[in-house]
Amino acid sequence: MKVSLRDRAIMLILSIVSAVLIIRPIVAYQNFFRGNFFMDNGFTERAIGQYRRAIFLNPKFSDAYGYLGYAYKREKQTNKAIAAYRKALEINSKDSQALFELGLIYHDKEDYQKAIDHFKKASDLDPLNLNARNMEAITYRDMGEIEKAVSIWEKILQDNPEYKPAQANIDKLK
Amino acid sequence: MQELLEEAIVGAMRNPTLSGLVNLWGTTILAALSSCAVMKVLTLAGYLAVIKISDWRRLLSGVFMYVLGMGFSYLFVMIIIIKAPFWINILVIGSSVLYSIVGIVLVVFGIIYLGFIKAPLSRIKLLSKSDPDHDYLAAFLLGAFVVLMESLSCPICNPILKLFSAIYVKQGIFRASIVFVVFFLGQSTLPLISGLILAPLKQLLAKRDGFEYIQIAGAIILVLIGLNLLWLS
Repeated sequence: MKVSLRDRAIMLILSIVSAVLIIRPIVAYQNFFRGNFFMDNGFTERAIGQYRRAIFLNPKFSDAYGYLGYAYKREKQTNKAIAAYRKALEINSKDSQALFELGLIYHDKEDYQKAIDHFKKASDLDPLNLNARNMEAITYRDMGEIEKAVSIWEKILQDNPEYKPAQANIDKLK
Repeated sequence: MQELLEEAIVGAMRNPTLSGLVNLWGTTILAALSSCAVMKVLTLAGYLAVIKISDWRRLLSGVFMYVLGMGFSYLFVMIIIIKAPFWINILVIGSSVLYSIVGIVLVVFGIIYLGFIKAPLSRIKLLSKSDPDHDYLAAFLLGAFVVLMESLSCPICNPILKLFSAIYVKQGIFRASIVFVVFFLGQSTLPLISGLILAPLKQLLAKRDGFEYIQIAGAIILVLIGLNLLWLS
């Protein structure tokens, strides 16, 4: 044995430290994908564990925060979901999906004004996100502002006649 | 990347010409460069480095067995998706256990090969050097386990295997098999290229009295992969 055990131990420790420093983002992605895999198969708690590990390795991982928020929402841990979505938006303020999901939570909590703000921002960032515009209209309807709601749905139908939920919501009001 | 690969598969199914199949092969190679490639290639590199063989032809045979093991697992997961989808949930739960077991095994073997623990490895039949066939079996098992673990959660492999399952059911076995073989060749290309580089390199270094250093590097890679698997379990 030419290389002593002490030198081998030093090499191992240095390799582990270098790997932690260099491939941390890759491992964070591995955790993220594994979290998605658990989510797809209905194992939300395990998914939360994987997303948290991903965030631990890469605290700027906005997608992981977004999915963590969704997982918490599924587990009915609303406050934690809000915190995760806010963190995702803190890192990436243009994350329209996080804005939309956060809007849905505020809508469920009947905090309608906040919900509308988030749906508006989401549809401004992603004009193709018709669900955000539809939810904005639904929130106006729930607030009793029917005219505003109908005008949004009509605008949606004008631009996208094939979007069925808008017509269905108008029909429900009749 | 997943959409591109799906398009290439559907394109090759509709039009299984040489250009369609080459396009699928190329797209699969690109898709295989995801996070799971790190695991496949590094595990192979670690394995090639720690085993006592240094003849490049025998090392390459090991690489082929590793790739065959990969193919076995791809088929296994696909058959489960087709024939027993309810098993997927068991595999999901089992995958954490599998990650832990394989992780611990790799860390232990890495530590043994580093020389921190004296273990009678020659007594373990699978690792015995008296019969070279055992090396190939170990390579096959390693390839099979790595793919069994990563194909379930890989963002590329998992949806693609589901797509192949649907194709097999709807379009029949013959055409689907041709396209699947091309996909498998694409997935195997990176490990094969790594083997083609690493096997002669190991023979060269071993001849120059560097065998011990190669084995240390391989053992460290095994420990790192093992720790990675434990973290992901």
